[in-house]
Amino acid sequence: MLVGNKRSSVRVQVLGMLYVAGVLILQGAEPSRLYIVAGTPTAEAKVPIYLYSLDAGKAGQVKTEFKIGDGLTCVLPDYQLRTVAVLSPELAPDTITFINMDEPGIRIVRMVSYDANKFVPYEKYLLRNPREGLGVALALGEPSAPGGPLWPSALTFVPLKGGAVIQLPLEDTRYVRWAGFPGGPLDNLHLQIELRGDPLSVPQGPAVKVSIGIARPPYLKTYTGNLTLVANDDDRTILESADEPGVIDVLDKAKNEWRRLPTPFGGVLRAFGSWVAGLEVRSANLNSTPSKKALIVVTGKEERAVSPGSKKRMSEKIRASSDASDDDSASVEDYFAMKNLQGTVYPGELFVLNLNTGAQIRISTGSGDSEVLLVANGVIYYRVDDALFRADIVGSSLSNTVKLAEGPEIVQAHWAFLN
Amino acid sequence: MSGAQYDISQQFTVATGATPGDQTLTVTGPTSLTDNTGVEITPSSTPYIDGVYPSVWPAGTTSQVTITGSGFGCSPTTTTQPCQNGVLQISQAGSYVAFYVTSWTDTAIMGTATVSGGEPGETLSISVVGAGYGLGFAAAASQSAGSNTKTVQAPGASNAVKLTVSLGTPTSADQWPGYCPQAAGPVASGGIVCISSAPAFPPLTAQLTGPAGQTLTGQVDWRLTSHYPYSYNTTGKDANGNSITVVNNVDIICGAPEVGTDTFLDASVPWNIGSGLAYLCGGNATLEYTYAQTPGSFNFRILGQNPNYSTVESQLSTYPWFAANGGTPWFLYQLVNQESSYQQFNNTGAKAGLPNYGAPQGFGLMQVDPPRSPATLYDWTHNAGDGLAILQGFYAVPYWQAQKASWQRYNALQSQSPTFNPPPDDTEGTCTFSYAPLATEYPYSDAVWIKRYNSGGASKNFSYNNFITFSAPAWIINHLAPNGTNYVLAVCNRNQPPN
Repeated sequence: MLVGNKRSSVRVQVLGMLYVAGVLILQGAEPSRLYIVAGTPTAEAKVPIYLYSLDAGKAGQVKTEFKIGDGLTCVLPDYQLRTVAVLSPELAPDTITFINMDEPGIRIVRMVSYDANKFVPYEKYLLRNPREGLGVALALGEPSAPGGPLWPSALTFVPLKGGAVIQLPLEDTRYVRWAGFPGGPLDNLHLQIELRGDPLSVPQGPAVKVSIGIARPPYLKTYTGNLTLVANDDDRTILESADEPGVIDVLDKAKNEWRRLPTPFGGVLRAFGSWVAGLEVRSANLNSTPSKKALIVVTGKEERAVSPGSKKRMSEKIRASSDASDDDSASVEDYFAMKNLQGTVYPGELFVLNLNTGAQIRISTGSGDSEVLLVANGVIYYRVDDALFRADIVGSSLSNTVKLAEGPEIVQAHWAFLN
Repeated sequence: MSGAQYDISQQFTVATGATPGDQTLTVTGPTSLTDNTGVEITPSSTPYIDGVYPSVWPAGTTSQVTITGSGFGCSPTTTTQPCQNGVLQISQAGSYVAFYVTSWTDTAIMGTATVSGGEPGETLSISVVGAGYGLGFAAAASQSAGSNTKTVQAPGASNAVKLTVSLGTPTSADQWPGYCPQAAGPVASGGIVCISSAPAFPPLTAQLTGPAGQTLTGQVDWRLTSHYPYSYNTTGKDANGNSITVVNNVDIICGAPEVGTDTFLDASVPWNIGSGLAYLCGGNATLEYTYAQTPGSFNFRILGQNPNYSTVESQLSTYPWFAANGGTPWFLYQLVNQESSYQQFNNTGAKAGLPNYGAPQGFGLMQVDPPRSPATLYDWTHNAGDGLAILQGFYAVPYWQAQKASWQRYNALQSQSPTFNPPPDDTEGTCTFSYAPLATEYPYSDAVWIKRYNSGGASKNFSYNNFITFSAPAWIINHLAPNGTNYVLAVCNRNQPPN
């Protein structure tokens, strides 16, 4: 299956190069369907998760492919291995749905069992283990164990290929695959992969650090701040440093060479092969901002930040369960409430950066609920509220922008792939 | 008649514009004859009844009746004189039924009749004595002025049946309310019966009998339907996108044994209304029956009475899920007390006996919102089950574990930053919630759990609205429900037994 995936991946990359070379001539070669995974990770609700598809090149109807589940913990895509792993339900996932990007009609569902009242998956990784292949690893710990938290001591691995759920050593964290964060106010912190030391290591609790087998960039040997993994696949590792927003460090694995690239701004970053996409995040200087208070007691009267597009978001509903009514559902703006309280502002500024050419493109959407969903084959797909757009990338600019779809199916679209 | 001398004196008026020439004068009299003036007198037509409408003349009511046929006389095409001597005879069991004529022509008689109660299956015999044309019926030899007799079913007679709805001896009540009848006996139209505190449907029977209590034969089709209408407001948008208040009207309908289901029984057998009930049913009830193709109905009200506190608590504590998840929550009785004061039904006032209602759609002991079925309104055990299932769905231990893990994880990564503290204890009335609770304290997960029950709709339960959330690097405590109230405090301040 992995061989097949690689072949498909090569096909797509070749098409991408041809496409750049002759947009008009090869327009018909563009993959015909854009698939979107729609759902909202929460810690409380059984928000339904769907796989939709639509015409990748022109406006059209959104087709429901299938419902993936109810309640979302996270989605872990791997564009190189052409696989999406969806972890559900919320908080304590026990169901992993693998979707093959080359055969999206086929889903493989794997189950894992543990006591959700006792164990918490501190980490959720997509791993490609040399022996077990691709799968999802949960680092289970006990936050309320007597005497203090019991940190994960192994990885509970759910293999895509099937068979028993197995325990892998923490050291297998080195095989982590990571494509970055979806945008907006989604709670991403639990997925953040921090790196320490040299070689770069992932902390598993306060006492254990697991090497990922990659040396620290030579120009950061003395840097003592936090480093965060932006992306990691076969070709490259991308880091950002907490103290230097607007800069990323990229390891070309073929050349074993680090280089530093500026980005237009710091924020929420994700990667699509040789493209990095970003969503700007700003901080409003509120009295209640976390830098000033580690405890906020809501009174209803505190100052709050507001991201543009609030009125639109209030009208967009996120059903808390499959049978919830509109009156019984949160609005998208409800998801911004926590961030508003903490002074986080999403101004609706997006960028994409080509790691090979250095080309940068910025998009100002005017709405805080915007994000780049995919960059592939010389085309960018991005969402603004409940509308999905595509545009051709020509050098450092966009052309042929088309609104592909608009409606409730798009509101929660945070991940996409082509077929 | 030969040799008889008749003197006829009659004034005729020839219409203006009549055709000149010989005219024929026809005299309609008791015999057919030709007088010495050559004027022929012809007899009247014998009346004949084709049909009687309607076929059902309900007893005790006045029916509009039309009788069709011919030869009734008094046709306006032959005379403008008032009818005389015509008689419509309606016979019921040897007695005549009064008929009030509103219209009488040669082919139709219309009027009203009131049929008194009689035996089921009784018939009415209807006949007409012709009115002739003008001065009365002119009969030839051996000709009768009377019509055929039309015997029609007298379905009106079946309405003479009597419906008796009887309440058996009510079961004892823990808190016998004054609005509930406490003795067996017939139920009056518009009367009240009560669901017991057990809970059980009132011991109600219905039966039809004939006059003087005779047993009836044949089948009765029974149906009970009950309504509980209410309305609540939601927000919506008008055609221009402006926010508006939408009034939603709801009618909770139930029936016996189910909504829309008929029960067919031999008329000699009383219908035990509560037998085979799908679920307890109450509200504004209508008992409908059909016997011998004739329908009838009877209205009454089904209210409810409350169990006592200990009975409720016993029921609540048996919820099976609790046993596997730490036992009955310490706050459960206080929460039920806060929701309803343990009242499935209102105990007093104009709405006494009606389901305990709280806006927008909360009902009963646990203010289940919206109601899952009619049983949510009328069966307190069902209401408790519904409410406990909702409470189970809001169980917050996994959520709280995740918040703790998130904070622990964040703290563990702060190699360069000061360690953040766990959240301080939070005291709400008599309760103290803690990250690391002592024996007399409660975990924060309980505060989250309590608050979620009140917030109800999932939209109010998302992150920021939880009682406590870790959103790096801050703990956020939100005591307030979207309506600005502190429900956790209210529950904590509730006592047991109810205050």
